[in-house]
Amino acid sequence: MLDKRKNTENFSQLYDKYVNKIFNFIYYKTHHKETAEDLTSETFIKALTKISGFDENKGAFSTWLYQIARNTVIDFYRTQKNNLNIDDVWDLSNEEDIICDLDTKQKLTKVKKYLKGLKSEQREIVILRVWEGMSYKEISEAVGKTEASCKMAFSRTIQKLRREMPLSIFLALLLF
Amino acid sequence: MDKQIKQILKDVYSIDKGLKMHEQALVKIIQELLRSKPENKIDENFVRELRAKLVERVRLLKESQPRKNMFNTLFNKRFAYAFAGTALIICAIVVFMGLPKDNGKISIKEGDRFVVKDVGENAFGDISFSQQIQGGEDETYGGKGGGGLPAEEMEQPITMPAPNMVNYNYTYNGEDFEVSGGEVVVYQRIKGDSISKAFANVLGKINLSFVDFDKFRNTKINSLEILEDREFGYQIQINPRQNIISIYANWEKWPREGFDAPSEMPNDEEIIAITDKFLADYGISLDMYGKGDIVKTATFGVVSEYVSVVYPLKINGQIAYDQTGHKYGIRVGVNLKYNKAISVSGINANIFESSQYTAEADKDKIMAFAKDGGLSKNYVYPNATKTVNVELGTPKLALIGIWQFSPEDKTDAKEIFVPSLIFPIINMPDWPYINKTNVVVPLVGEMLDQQNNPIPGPRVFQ
Repeated sequence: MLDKRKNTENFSQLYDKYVNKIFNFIYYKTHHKETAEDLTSETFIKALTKISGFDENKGAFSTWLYQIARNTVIDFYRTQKNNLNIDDVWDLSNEEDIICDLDTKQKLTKVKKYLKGLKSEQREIVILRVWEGMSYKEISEAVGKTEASCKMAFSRTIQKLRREMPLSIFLALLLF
Repeated sequence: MDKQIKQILKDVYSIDKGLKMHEQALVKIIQELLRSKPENKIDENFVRELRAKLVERVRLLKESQPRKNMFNTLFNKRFAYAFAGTALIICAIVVFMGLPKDNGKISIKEGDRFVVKDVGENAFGDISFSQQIQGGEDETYGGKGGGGLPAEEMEQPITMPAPNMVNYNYTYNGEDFEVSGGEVVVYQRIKGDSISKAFANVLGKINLSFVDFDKFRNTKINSLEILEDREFGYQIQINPRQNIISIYANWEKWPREGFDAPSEMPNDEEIIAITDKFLADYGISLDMYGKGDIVKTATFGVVSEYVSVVYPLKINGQIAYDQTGHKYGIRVGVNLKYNKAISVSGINANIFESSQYTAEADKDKIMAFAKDGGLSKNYVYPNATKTVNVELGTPKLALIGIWQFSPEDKTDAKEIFVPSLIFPIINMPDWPYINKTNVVVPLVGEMLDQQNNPIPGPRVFQ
């Protein structure tokens, strides 16, 4: 899709195609609308300025773009917190995430603890599959893995959640 | 069962058939995850503005690397119309904001990108208010470096007539919150003199028959004013020493008629569209700023001829606020009679240093500071004629821009951005009018020390 020589107008199409997805991807890592908007801007500006270094033989454009988005979020939190172990909002303690959107905070009450307990990549795959409804092909491009390994990772993560999520949640759900 | 859940389960079973025996639990987990999905919807205005920003970036890339960058023509055909109106008069601004060299313009690197350099702990020295000169009679109430912030409700001195000596009793009525202590990152804007020297360099190239500017050595431009000589023209004031550009109406070229409020005033979106267009037309970059927001002011029932839009500065993704807790950045005034931008302030080179300072860990101390009125304390009258209860709501964490003046050189000010809590006032009293809508408390420990924050004296009309 990105032929450097003959089609330089594609970025507008790519922007339209990915801006929603990248925003959502970042939002799920920040839980704060303004921060997500800012980091989405940063992601696309970086993509624009670094596009000459993009090599489509090495991977899909979406993989490259998601990686920029992921790194942008990591840089944001690590700079803010001066902590090299923080990748996104899920790594913050509850006391630290006071700038999160209140609605999101409330919606996540029940599952936050369990999602926090996952590895960053496992969480990403679950979120992209369940919240974004992405196919494994799309997920594999977003996380830069094969479809098969994404399927495997998702399956294992669901098993882990089944083991760890307490019975009380299931019982509560049965009442619905 | 929902189609999406069915598909998810099908994929899971294709990996491990044994999981089918836990189907009920798996369904519940997936249902719970779906129920927990945040309601995040992208803002269409944001999408539009980001696209415009990218178009502008492409334009700059095109000018700087005409043959190397694949994005030279990116967007251009599709969105070129958005940038058709760039005017020559602002070439000075464009130079200031950083343009390439190879098209005949001077490049000044500092302004062309957002830069934050970490310079270690406590690198800005003592940033408590004790190090600043105290404001004189005509300066901002509360002294403490307030000067220069463009705020509609810049903390004005309390100028109550003597019979109305009002005390304010602040109480907290928000949700419980915690402070974690540790360190916070403080930013300081860097000035530098390269822009000043670059302007002097340009001047040196001008050959006048009666004076040779090139003979002067190590020159800098202290200030520069450019006038647009046309109807509805502007005057551009450049302060290269502070790296600040301001734009005002060139009043000689604007009609001087009275203002009659039109029957239909433009709505917020229309006003922001006016300022968006003005900034885009004049090539004023919003790369480091958030989207425009109408500045709400107390009108007291009077229809104003002017309204302002603020594009908040963002430092490492954090929106900056002024000392009154309002968004701080590029501010565009709009004349509602002509629906034209009439002023722009806050255009600045965004180069910062960051440094870590010890955060205040004592919540009681923070609350005590808030109950004194925060950064703009209120004098407590011994014989007050009235006491007004002011309720504070749940605070939000934000960067607050604070000007600090050097004790040695009153003309030299530094601008720092300090992580702070902004407590909104949730019961604005109708009368007596209180001159703030927020109470701001910096989170740097040394800024909260009582001895560094003297309560100001009363200001009473004689």
